[in-house]
Amino acid sequence: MSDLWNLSAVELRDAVRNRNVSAMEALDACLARIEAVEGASGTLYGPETEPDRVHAFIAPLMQERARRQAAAVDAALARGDDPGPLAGVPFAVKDILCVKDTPTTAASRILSNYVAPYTATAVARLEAAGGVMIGKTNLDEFVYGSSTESSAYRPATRNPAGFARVPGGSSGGSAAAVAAGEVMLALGSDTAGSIRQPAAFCGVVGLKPTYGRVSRWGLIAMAASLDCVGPIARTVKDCALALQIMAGADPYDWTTVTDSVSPYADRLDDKTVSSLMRGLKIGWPREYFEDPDLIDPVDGKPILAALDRAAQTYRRMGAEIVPVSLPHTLYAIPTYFVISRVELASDLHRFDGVKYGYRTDRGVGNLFEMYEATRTEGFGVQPKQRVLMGMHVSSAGYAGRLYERALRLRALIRQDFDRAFEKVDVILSATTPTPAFPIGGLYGDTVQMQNADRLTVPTNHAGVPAISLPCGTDTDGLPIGLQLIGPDFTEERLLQTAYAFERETRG
Amino acid sequence: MKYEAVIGLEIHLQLNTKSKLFCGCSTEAVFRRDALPNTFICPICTGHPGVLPRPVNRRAVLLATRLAMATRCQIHEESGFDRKNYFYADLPKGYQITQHGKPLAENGRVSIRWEGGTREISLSHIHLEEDPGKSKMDGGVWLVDMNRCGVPLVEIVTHPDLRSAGEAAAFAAELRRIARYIGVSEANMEMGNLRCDANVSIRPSGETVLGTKTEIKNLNSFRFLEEAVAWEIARQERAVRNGETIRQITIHWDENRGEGRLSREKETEADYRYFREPNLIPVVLDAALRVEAAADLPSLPSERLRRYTEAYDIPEKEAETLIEDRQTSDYFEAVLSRFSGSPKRVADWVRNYALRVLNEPGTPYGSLAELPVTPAYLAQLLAMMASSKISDALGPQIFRKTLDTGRSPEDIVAQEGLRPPEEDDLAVFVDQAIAGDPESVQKFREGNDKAINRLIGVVMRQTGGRSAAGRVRELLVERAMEQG
Repeated sequence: MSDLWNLSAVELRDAVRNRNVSAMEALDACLARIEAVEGASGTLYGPETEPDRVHAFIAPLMQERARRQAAAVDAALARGDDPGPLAGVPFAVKDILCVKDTPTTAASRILSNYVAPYTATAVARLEAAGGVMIGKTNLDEFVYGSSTESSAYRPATRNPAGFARVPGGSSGGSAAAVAAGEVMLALGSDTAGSIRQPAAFCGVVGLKPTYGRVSRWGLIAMAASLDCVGPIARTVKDCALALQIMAGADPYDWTTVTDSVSPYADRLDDKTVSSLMRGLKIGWPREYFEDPDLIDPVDGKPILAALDRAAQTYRRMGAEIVPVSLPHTLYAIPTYFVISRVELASDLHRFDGVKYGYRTDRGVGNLFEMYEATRTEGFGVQPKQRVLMGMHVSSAGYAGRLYERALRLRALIRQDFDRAFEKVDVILSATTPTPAFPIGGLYGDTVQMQNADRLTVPTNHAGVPAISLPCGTDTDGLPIGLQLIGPDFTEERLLQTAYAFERETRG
Repeated sequence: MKYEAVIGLEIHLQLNTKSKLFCGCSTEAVFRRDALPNTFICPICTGHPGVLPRPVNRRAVLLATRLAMATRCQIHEESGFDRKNYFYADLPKGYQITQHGKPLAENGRVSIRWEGGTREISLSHIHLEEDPGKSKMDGGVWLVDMNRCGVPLVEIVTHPDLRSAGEAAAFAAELRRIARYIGVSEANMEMGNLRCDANVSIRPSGETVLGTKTEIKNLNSFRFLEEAVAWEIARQERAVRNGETIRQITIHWDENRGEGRLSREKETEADYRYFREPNLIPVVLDAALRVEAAADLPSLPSERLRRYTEAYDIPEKEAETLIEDRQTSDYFEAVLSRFSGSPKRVADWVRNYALRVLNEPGTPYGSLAELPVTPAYLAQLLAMMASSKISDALGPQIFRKTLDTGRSPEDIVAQEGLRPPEEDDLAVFVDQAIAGDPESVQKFREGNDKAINRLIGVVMRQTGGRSAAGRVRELLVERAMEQG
């Protein structure tokens, strides 16, 4: 069964639970697939090699840990116990989430020697459900980017749908690993679109849950008020399964909510979904389709065409497409620039060479020289740029003019969604304004790179859930992502709406 | 020209909680001297990547609320946490979680006694925050101890209402008494439970505009606070008289040399880039917490001082001794509630006998609350003396017996035959004394009043000290004169 890697997580889980295959066989199948397609995994300042390989992971893989977990799953089954709803499913974790006793680098030199003393709640819950953690995936340094090119760990991750293209980012390694069949499931984090944009670029499914739905304990912060942990998988159902395992209150994250968690995956039966589609009101936000600053009418043409087809598909299933307006969408990126940088500049203070991580080995005269040398040598250009801007906009003279104003704009963006959701159940848009761009195409232009998130970041401001799923390809065969957005904590309906489309278009 | 000093204080108090403000680590290390460095820590309080603060320690909120109540603050229904960003070796996250925009409470008042009068000092606000760790240079190496990181603190900030070094110290001492009375902090300065910063400026007397202030950091005793503020006032006066301008600087007090070190730090106020801590939701004081915070809130030391001096006629100096700590004051009041005699007499006994026991070398008792001579026993003893059931002379002896054995004074008197002799028996002893010392009798008759004392001594010895000395004298005088 050498094509085990190609099963969905749900299919594999069922096979393992029914003892048709062992967790160890499933693990071996994925490791063999990785061997075939991965090439060299990222190492600190490693050489760019093998342009026809994926390079989704940061070396080394956690093979021993994975084997222990797989053996435990098989042992539980042998005893007649249920190892859990993710029994034997290999998964990968974006290297921004801490996993006890393993290196956790954030793709930065400054954490290149850091070994986490505890495990992120999201990862711990997947493992407790029988999941088999195989390794950590590459990302933009400290998640600062939309292409995974700013990682200090190289070679850069490539897009399995077109090796000359970026996988998107910052969860580029996770999306690429899933798209290339290296794992069934990977965790990402989404602060401005970092799960959905790479999922769209690589042609897989990525879910950003409602803020507060999944614990952030163990997620190295970029912007604490925007960060969300979520799954990337090849099917909507696999994302639903991962969410139902990870979601729920966590005493270690005060911002998680205590609302009950649906068995999201079990709610994706054909009958329920078909009846939901009849009369479902789907919002068509005109700014996302008509504003040339949000989507270029020429470059975005294949995307707009794909979205038209998607709307037709939903109409065919009985849904109603209703025009809505989200008038502050254009301000979402500048607002994000300010808020995220204020928060991250503060969050990065702790990387100072005192307690853990990289410390300069230059002879330094005093504490502040040590800080300066450590941070100069330890951070790449993306964190440095963002820290400088964050310190600037939160400094005494500017905080009122910039930060406070950004917070007010954020409230207006939230209000846009509240008003739209009075009229519709779900909002539909493109995930990205363009398909995956070429490696090196945008890197270096921070503003352009940030703009790649302009269709995804409004939901981070608003805190509402959103999912990206494949909706065709452009003429070069590059995947196009459909984004569905729902009101707070309506992941169940959002996943059902996505599932209906997937079912209809995959045949 | 005469100058007036204007002083404001910022006082940090470590709250009496078992665990830290945002994690489950024990606070034990700050209350003992032998804790090994970095043994009471976890990923949260040492700022590991990916950690989040746990929900705020409810007991810390409760204690801070209690302090706000005792200092008559307006307490906010809802307050929030902010980040104060700066780099230092003992600040593992690179920011301190504090309450900047919306403190727990504002606009309080504390009464202090100063130079024979009462002064009301107003508070700007009280807020909760986490303590940083400790760091020091040792032989060219930075040593960092994070045991203290995250220990709950309250910061109490006064308005610039204080006018002298002595008054500043009096305020700090009063705040410490309040904190201890209501049980929110050990407030032990030596252990760093109470730390004090002083803002000092001067202005010509009569002027209402504030002068440029300097900040004196980390004063860890009331004496150093008083010395440092006095030193700084004198320095500023000298500077102004020499035509210099006062610059906004930070001063570190050198305790050994008795002088301040002016730091060369930047003169503008540090920019801490405050913003709301996104990982914490606002602190909401629910009704249950308010009720709990207000429960058993005792009367404050300043109220007690006023009552003792005004209603009980106890001299102020003596009253100050009684209110210095709550156990003493509570003990005094407990005795008073059981004894209908003079409060002054109770005060004397508490000061001269009960408190003295605590100062005896090797005493096992740390406070009056632990004394085997309970308030009920002392009241009993005082009542027996007042009604001449025993002689005053026996009082101290019975006090000591109760202290040593834990038996009640009444038991001791009954079992050891310490009641005064019956009148008939006493008459016999008096006659014997007169018969045995005709010389003293003669002298007394001749007008030497003191001669009778010798005879009193004899009777007291004969009766084992049990007789009331006044009655013995009366009988002796009567009999001596009869014989003439």
